[in-house]
Amino acid sequence: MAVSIRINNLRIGKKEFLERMSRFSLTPVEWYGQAYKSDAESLGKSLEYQLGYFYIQSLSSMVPVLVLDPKPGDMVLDMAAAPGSKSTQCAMHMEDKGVVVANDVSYMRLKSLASHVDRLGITSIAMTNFDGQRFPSVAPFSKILLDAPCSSMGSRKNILPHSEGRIRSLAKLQKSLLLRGFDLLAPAGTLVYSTCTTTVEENEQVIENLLSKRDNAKVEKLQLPFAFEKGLGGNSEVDSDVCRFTLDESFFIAKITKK
Amino acid sequence: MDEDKFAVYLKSRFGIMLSEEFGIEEKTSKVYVYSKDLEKLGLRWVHRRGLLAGKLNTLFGIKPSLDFTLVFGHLAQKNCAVISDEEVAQIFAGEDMVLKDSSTCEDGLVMLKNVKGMGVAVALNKGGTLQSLVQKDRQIAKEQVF
Repeated sequence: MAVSIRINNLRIGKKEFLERMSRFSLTPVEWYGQAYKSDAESLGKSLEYQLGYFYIQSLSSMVPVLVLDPKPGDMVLDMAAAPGSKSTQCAMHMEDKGVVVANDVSYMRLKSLASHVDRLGITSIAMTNFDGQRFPSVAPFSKILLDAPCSSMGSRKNILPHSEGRIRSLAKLQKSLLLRGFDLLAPAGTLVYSTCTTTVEENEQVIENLLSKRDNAKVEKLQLPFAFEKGLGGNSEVDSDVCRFTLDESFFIAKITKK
Repeated sequence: MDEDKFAVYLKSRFGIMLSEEFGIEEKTSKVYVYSKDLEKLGLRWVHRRGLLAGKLNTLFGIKPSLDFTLVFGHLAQKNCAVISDEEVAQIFAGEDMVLKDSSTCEDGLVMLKNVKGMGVAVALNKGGTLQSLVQKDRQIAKEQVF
C-alpha cells in the first residue's frame, strides 16, 4: 500500500534527501513540495527514518497545516496534538522558530509525540497535557489548529461504525473544543478546524454552533489545489466556505478567523 | 544547577557551546534543550519544552542523547570522529567498530560525525573500539547495512 512522507527540512535539504532515498522510488506530490509518495515497504525501518530525515503522514492530514500556514515567529496552538504529525509539520514550516504548543489530553499519547519531536530534532515545541476544553488563558495565539477527536469514518484505519449516541457525544466535545479554541485566538488570528470523519454532526454543525455563539467568528472561503467538495450541512453560509476532500483519507476542513 | 552541569560537560568533553538562542532545562535527571522563543509562552504547567538532550545519571555519567547529537553534534570539536556512510549504518545496526585514529579521542563517550560533518550518534570508546550506544528501538536491521 502506498504511503506518503514529508521531508524534515530542519535536518536535510531536498536534493540530498532525494539522493539518499532514491532506492524507495519516491513520487513527488505536486501541490506540496515537501511531500512524496512511495509504494516501498518498511520506510519506517530505514536508517533515514531513524536519522530523522522524514515523517510518515497521510496526505490528507498534511492539508490542515497548509491551510493554517504557520510562519517563523508565530505562536501556534495545536489543541489535540498527539501523535504529533501536525505539530511537527507546523514547526518545520516555522523553521523551528516561534512557539508551537502541542497539547493533548492523553498523557500516554504525549509520549509518542515526544518521540517524534526528539527524532525530528525540534526545539520550538512545548508539550502540554490539558483538556483542550479548559486550556488555560495565556497570551493569545495567532494560529490555532484543532484536528478534533472524531469518529474517524473517513480514516483508512477505521473499521467499526459508531453509534448515534457516540457521534452525539463526539459532536458535543468538538463544539466545546472549538469554542475554547476560538476564545484563545488573537484578534485577526486564524483557526483551522479539521476532522477525518464524514458526519455532518461533527463537521458543518460544529462550525454552525460556533457561528451562532460568537459574532466575531468568520468562516473563510477555502480553495484547495486538488479536487474537493463543498459542505453538506444544508446551511449555505457554512457550506460554501468549508471543504470536504478525499486523498488517502476523507477529511473535512474549515478556516476560521476572528474579526 | 544541573542545567549548568550539562553545559559544562558539553564544553569540556566535546568543545560544544550552544548559542544563546537555546535554553537548557533539567527535569528528573533528564536534560532538555529548547528554543528560547518558548520563554514567551508564559504558561506555568508545561509537560516539557524542546527535545530530550541527555541524561545526567547514566552508566557513563552524563550522556548526550542520540537526537541531541543529530542536531548539535556538528559543533563537537574534540572527542569526535568522522565515519563513513557505511559505518553510520553499522552503528545504527548496533555494531561496534574500530576507531580509525585513536589519538583523537579519549576513552569514554565520543560523538560521531558523517563525512559531511553532521553529528550522527554517540559511541563509547574503549581503547580504540567504538561501541554503539544506539538504543534498541532506534536500531535498524543488519540486512539494511549497505
